[in-house]
Amino acid sequence: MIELSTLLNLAWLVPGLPFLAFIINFFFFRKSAWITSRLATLFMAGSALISWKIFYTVWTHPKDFLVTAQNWQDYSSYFEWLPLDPSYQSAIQKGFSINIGVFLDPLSVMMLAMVASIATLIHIYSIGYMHGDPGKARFFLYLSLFTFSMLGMVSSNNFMQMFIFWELVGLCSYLLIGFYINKKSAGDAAKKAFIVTRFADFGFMVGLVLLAWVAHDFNFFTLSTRVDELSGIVKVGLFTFPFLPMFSLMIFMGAMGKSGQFPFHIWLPDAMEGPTPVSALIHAATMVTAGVFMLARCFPLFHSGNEMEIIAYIGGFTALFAATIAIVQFDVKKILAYSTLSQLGYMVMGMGIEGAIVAGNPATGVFHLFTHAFFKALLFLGAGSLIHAAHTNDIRQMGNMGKYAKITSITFLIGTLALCGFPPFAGFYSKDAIIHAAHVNGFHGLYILGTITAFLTSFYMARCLIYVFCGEYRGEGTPHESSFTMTFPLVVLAICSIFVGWVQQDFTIFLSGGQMTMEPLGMSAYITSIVIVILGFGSAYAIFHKKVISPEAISKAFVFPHFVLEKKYFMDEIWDYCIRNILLVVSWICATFDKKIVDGVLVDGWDYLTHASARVLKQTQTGVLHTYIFVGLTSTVIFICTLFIN
Amino acid sequence: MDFFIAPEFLTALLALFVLCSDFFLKEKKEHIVPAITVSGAMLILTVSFAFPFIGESSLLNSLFNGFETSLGKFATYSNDYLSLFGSRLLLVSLVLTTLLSWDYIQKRTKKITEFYALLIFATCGLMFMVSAQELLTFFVSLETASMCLYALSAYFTDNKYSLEAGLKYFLLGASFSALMLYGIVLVYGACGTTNYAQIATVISTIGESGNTNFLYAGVVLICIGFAFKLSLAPFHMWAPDVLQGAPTPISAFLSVSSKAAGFMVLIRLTSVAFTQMNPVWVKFFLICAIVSMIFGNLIAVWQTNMKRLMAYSSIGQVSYLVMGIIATNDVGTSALLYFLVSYVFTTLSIFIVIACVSKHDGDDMADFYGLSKRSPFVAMVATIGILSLCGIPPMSGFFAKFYVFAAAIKSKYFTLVFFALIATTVSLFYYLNVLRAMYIDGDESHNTPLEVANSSKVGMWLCLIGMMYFGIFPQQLVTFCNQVAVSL
Repeated sequence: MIELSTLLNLAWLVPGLPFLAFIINFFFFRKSAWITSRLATLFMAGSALISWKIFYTVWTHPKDFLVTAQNWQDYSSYFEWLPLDPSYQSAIQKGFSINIGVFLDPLSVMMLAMVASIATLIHIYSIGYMHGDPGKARFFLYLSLFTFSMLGMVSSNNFMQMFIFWELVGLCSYLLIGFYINKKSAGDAAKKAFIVTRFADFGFMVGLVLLAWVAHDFNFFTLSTRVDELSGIVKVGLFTFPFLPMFSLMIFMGAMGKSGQFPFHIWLPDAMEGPTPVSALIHAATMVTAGVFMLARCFPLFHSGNEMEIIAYIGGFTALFAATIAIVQFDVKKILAYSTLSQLGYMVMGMGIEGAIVAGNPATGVFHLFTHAFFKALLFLGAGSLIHAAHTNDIRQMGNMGKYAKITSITFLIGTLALCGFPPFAGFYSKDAIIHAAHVNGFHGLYILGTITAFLTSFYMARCLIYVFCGEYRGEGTPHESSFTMTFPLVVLAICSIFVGWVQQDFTIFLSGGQMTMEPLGMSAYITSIVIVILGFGSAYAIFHKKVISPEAISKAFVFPHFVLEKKYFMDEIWDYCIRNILLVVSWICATFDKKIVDGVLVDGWDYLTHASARVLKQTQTGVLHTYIFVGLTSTVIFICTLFIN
Repeated sequence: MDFFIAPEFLTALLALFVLCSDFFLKEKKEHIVPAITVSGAMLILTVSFAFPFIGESSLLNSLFNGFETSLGKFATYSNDYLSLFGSRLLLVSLVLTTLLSWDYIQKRTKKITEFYALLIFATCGLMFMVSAQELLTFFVSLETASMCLYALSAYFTDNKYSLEAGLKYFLLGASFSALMLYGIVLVYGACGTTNYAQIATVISTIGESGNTNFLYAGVVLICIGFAFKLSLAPFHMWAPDVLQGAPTPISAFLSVSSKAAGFMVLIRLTSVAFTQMNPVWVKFFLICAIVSMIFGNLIAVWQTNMKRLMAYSSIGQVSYLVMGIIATNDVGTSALLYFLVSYVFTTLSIFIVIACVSKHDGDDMADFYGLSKRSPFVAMVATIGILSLCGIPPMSGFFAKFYVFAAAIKSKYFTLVFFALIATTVSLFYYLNVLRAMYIDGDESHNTPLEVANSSKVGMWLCLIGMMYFGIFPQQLVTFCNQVAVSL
């Protein structure tokens, strides 16, 4: 095992290299897409290699990386960025401050390796995908910045650094969704994503302010030892509440925004307006899992609180809710987006379940995050390749794509099987572990939700496959297979999607620093899963291919439910209504108050007062030397006299 | 090595060297002399970072500090953390002021060498002033610097404004120096010593029994002397006239270096010599601060001359700075030191812009019209400087204000902070006016590209880096300031 300090120094390079690429490209090569793309990819690959090196070391020595509140400092390398306590003691002892740096524990190492590898593959893919786009250089700039921010976020050891990078990834997401600047829908989607997540981040911010106010500490590990103390009732201003549950729900609000949990999910499907590699990297594999990552990070803090059960139900509900909408979508990226929402729901559910029980093991949820990143990135990139081939997002205009794009099709099929949880593909091990956890821990409601969602997942993915691969090609022109830079990442991700599930046991040991194990899934899980997938595929096959019952007939028979699903449960309309009728009315009142009272009386009055009094005071400055000496000496006399009168 | 590596000594050498260079330099004086000044100052700065000279010097002890009196050892001068901090800051300010003068002086006068020599002598005097350990050494150093500055203010002898500035500054400065000297005499009369540490010992033994009226009056008079140098209202009246009339580099030097040095001496006096007397000077500075906030910020609203505006603005800034003294704790001292660093970079950035932009000696705000089109870079520097003066993050001005206000709140001066906050909002009136002039005002006639000399560009970059670096990464500097504050 190499020295810890060496590892820490290397770890700076993981987020450092993409940042360097961003800086170099920004200052020197903004005009040349060729250089920008190659340089960014090269630096990203270097970052990924280093992250694997670190990952390998930790993976092989899990017991040496058991990070606790006592030894966390050995595993972090940071600088004190902002001393918040400006007292002189900080010269001697470290006061309350904001620290920025890198931190190595199994969770962050896993995230670093995962994010860096997928980002590398997506960089390679984008070279082909963005070929000929006038904004290619800009695209790679944003991509580097995003990767830097994401890596910076996962390697933070305190809430404040996490928040800073959390907002940075949000910014990059905004920039990349709105990448096609001439498309109005892209601009709208970018704004929607930004505003909705900002709205949720407000909760995160309130949580952080509470934390700074009450606990005077941002560090994950020192906070985790103070759980008992922090669970008590606190009084902040006029409000009295138990601190920790309030804090965790506030923080979780931020997670809900980023990870698209109901009712903040509305931005994610629209975010598909961005280029497909962005959807794969940001809106499927990495950024949207930030909320789940945060839950894993704060696991010791949230652990065995009642609020975790609420979180689990929000997750389970989102999973089912999003899966039902996916059934009626025709845009391949929208299907995948709802599927992502649904899978994120699973992850949150997994974290919630494990958090709510005493012997909770965060590995359940985190493992799904890990595997999902691979197969969902694969599916999105595959979809991108299909779109690239057929020049449309609409699955009704595809068909028989297997004939034209072999590699894409095979890898897409593998991704689908992994997503549906067909053993032995990756999704089975992670998703069924969550469903299994719900079952054995007595959350029967969640168990049923999870199982139905699993069936729906198979159903809508099979529907998607049938539209894409069966029948005759229904679009215009002749589709063609994509270039090597695009198919290579597909193949790599497909291989990963087959195999990463198998490490489930080792993964648990690794993540808990050798403290926990997970019992392997039993035969019943295998059988259930296979049956569910076959049921889902079979019914989709019967309906959409054989037309035993034609889909039109079903939609006719269930007009209202179908309409509701097509309208995505009217969530956009509900938000719209709320904003229009509540927010706008409140804003109108505020605006009127602002215009009449604040502007009219305060600002203008203040302006008038300032100018008027300044005009009077100005007269004192006569420019005559006598006056100056007179004023100075008179003041002196007055000062001395005041002194003696006292 | 001893005293020979102390920045004070090296700076004195540099001044003599520059002065002598006039004899053997025939051509291109206008470039070589400032180049020598900048590189010399940089070199001294490097030495002071590489070999910080702190502590006892056997040479000095034998010359100045060896007197044994009934109160113990009598030191006149010593190098400690504060003087290290002070000399570094003054050197940075000297470098920036020289970069600012380079182009400006060359265009306006033939007398090059004396200008820089006097500038370095003034800096040197200020450095000795910071390091002085007793009142007379302090006073002599102060006068050394002041003499240079009187001459420099009137440097453009063919310009009546410059002459007026020099004369006014000299007459008023002399009067208030006299007052201060009288204060020193009274303190000496009451304590029987002029050494800071010994004064503190004597004051603590006088207690309630002795007649302290002389002492009180002496302290107030000394404080008035400081209030004059720092242009605290109601002793501020010289500042607008002098700063407007004097050559721009000297206006910059007067509002930056001499104030920074003044504050550092004030820190020394208030935290060493007159600690026991704090009811007196706290009350004095409290009144001065509030009056300055009102006068400085309000009168600035009507100004159209940039240098005059900056004079009022610096009266306002000084009133925030003095809050660090009023706080009477280490936090306040540390915050004040941080503020000084920020103040040096911020104020000089604006002065460099003024020197570049002004066409004639008017320095009117109209010169700033359309600056964003004439030279986007200069406009950006001015914008960042103005925003830093307003106290907007991430510029260093934000943390400067933040820490000072925090220190005042820690000592429970809520009224003062309240006034300061109001003053900050008022200050937006005139600060943002400058931005408006640069970005909105002006018409077609204001878009001829602006020629900026390389020296000024370098100066602007340095200010920019200073403002942004200490604003984004304040930690190192804060640690150093804390160290200085604790060491006193």
